[in-house]
Amino acid sequence: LKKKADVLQGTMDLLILKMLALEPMHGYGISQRLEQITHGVFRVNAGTLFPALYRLEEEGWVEGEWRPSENNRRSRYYTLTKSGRKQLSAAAKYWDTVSVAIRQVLEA
Amino acid sequence: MSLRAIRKLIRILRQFISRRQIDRDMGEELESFIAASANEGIRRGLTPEQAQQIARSQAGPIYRVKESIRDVRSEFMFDALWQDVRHGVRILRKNRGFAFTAVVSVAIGIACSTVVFVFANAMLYEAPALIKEPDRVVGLWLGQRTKPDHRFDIQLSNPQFEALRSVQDVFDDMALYSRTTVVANVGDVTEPMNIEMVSGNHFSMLGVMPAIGRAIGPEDDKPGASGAAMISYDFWQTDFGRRPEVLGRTIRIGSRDYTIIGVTPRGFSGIMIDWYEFPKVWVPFHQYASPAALMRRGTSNPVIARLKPGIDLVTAETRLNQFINVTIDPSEDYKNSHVDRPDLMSVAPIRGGRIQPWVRNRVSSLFVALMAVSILVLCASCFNVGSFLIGQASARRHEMAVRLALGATRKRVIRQIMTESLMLALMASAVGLTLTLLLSKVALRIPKLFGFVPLYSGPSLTLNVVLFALFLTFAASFVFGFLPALIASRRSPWNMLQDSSVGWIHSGLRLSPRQVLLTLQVTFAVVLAITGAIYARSLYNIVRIDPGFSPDHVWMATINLGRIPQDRREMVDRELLSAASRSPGVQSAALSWPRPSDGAMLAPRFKLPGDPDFYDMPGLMVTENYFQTLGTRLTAGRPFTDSIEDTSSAVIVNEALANKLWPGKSVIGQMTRVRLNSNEADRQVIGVVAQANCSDHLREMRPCIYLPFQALGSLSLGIVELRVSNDAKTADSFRQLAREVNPELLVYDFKTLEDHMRERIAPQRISAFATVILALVGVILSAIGCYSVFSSMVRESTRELALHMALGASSNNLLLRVMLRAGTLCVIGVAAGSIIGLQVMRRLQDQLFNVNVGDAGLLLGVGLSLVIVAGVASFLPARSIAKTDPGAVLKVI
Repeated sequence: LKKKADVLQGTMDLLILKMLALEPMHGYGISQRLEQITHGVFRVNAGTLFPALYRLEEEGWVEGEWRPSENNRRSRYYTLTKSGRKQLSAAAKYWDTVSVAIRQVLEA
Repeated sequence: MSLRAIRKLIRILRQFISRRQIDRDMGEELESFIAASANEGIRRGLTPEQAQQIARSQAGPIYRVKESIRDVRSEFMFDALWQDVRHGVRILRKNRGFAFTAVVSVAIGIACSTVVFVFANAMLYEAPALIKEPDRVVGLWLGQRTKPDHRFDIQLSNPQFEALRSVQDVFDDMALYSRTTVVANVGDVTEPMNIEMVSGNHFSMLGVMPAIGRAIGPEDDKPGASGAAMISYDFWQTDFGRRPEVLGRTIRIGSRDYTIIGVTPRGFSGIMIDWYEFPKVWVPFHQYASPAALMRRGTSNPVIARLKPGIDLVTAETRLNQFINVTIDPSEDYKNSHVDRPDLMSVAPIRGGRIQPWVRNRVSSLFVALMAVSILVLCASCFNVGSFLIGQASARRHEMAVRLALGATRKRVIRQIMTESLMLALMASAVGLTLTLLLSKVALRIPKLFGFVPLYSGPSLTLNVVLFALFLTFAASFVFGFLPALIASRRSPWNMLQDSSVGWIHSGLRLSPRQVLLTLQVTFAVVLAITGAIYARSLYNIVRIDPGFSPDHVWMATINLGRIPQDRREMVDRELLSAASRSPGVQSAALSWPRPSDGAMLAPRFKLPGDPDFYDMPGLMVTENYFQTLGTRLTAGRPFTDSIEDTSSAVIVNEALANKLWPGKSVIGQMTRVRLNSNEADRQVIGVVAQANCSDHLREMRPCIYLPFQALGSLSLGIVELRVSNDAKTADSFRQLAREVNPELLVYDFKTLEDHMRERIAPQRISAFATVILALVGVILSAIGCYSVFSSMVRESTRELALHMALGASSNNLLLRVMLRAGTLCVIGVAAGSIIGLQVMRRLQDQLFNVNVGDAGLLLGVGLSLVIVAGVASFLPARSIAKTDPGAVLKVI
């Protein structure tokens, strides 16, 4: 049985990977997009987002790259790697199973 | 290692190299995040300043975010660790006194356990040195289905060995060997020595290469081959000065000459270690024993074998047991044997199989007890350090609070404190390992430790030992570091900056962590004290044991008549005794076989005429004056005479047997049936000897019988016992006397009966002694610990006590309250310790010697002395506090 923190962490990973599957993004982009898509349910701040991003990078699932962004600043853009894509589909599948199971329990 | 793992490793390495850059980038990335967030704010209509402010406060402090990123990335781990180490060095240098005490006391704990481990490892686990692929070498034993655990302690006879060897298909090779003591001439010197007879394939099967010369091979082990021998490296060194000319010299054993063809490699000591000395000489089986003797069914030898590659123990055992009826000839008559017919075979790895199976259990339970006590000692020292660190943790509250407030994660703070304790523990283990080497060298000096030769060339720090010490180190640092780390990082910075500790006066049932630890320390001290006291009692009983005879002024020596023709031996025996009893200073002389307390070795089979079965009975063969010489007496009947009737049909029993078989009846004249080897006869009881033990059972008088010395005909070996009026020069004058009786008569191994008795109880004595010492060390450690913890706890609560005094409490009242609290803790500890200690001791009862574990006086003594110690330990610091001036204290703080 996974602990609560692990589950939340896993969820965070899944969400970030999914965002990056759409297109390469920088940190602020990820948090913005997440907030938009979930209509403000998930608001991630820097303290949650960056440790997760750096951990994903260490796992080799995402890759960071400096690119120029709007208003003359450099931003670090993250791209999903091949193994990241694999991880995303595995995590999504797992999430599907779990969420269906939970729904069944709740509706029982 | 998978490709993915390698890739990941390379990535981490690359990141590690560029970690400074990554750290800077991290800052820039966060700034860009905030800028983007601020831009969004401006777009929504905020002023740039407002947007900037809101974006920053939403992101949280940048250093904190950075810290938590560093926490998840491996490239920063080393930096953090390095930082922790440097910090630790600073802290430990600041508290040099504490660091020193902690290192020394934990080192003592680690050393105690590791020394025990060194010996246990060498005796119960390690494979014999210098053997090729020792994990494929096994020993074979026979056992019986009906016995508990099948008692695999029967060796194979040579015919059984040959039968099995011809059918088995699981071993590359099978070899046998046998150890014996002989008298050998090397040059002009004649001395008794241990030799090993080995089959021709022994050395090639073990893969042992000679230091010089060649090893004994199959061609040497054929009837008719010229005698060849190998000598041990030590023998080569001591008697031949390691000169290569030793090859070609001869050793005379019995009436046969053996040419030295090689020297075994340094450190090779044969297979078995439960023998008082290592073998000095190896000779081929067929050279030493006649073919007829080799084919005798009654003679059995240890068998070793090398498993074929890929065959495991279970497979081998299953397969061998299919051949059990081939191995043990169904027509073979076991009636004349001292064992019942075996029907099972076991394959035991040689690793850890250096002690015969029936001794192994006794040895291992002894080590378990010693290990348990030394782990307790280690725990006591860990608790000392732990409670000190907790004290420091509360003293370092401010430091920790500042660190937490500055963004360190809790994990980080815990890691820092754990690093400190690990550093302490590592230093302690370095000191501990050095101590281990010293202590085990000292322990090796104790002659015949545990009655075995435990190690060959002194202890060395093998991988096993170092791993064990490291395991203890990590465990210890966890035990004493983790709780303080939790406490130091537990509270929020805000709470930690305030002073909040559980005090002495008004905390009710609440206990501070240190008070819990203090109670635990008392508990451990009590367990150790009980252990020590009970073992000390046991030791006292062992030393004061009554063997049933008076061993003072009695000398013993081995006589060897191997060179005297069989038909003249009886006469030589008789002449020797009469010459001895005529010589000045000798009051009485006797012969026996074996030694007075080795009766179990002879083990005649005994029954009453009506009984269906024989049973083993310790016994001795003795001459007429034996009882008089040993200082025991006959309570009824008469001693043996030289007459033929006595030799063939008389027996003397001890009172223990008489009381068991014929309680309240007249014993003289009762009939018994005794079988000794193949000699079976009805024997009439002609005498009863007062309480006397002839086996090494120490706990009580055991039944035993005495037979006439010539009951087995003329032996080539005997033990002579002499009661003398003056101990000086006994050995020399008796040797001279023996030479005059017959120059071919060899006499050696002189010792007093007292020394012999002391050797017999050496295992029990040494283990009890070691336990007492260990327990004493533990009690002292925990007493020091309790005292220092208590006094520092009281010192730290100066402020609390001063406040109470300022508010009008009298100092006597405060003293009473502190003592009451301390007393409660002590009582809890003593109670818990007594319960645990007694339970532990109940389990070890079989190692104790006539000690009643529940002995009330003993427990009362232990409890009382501990309460007194605790009382003094709490009274002194408490009184000094109660005397202080509250005004001064409150101002200072």
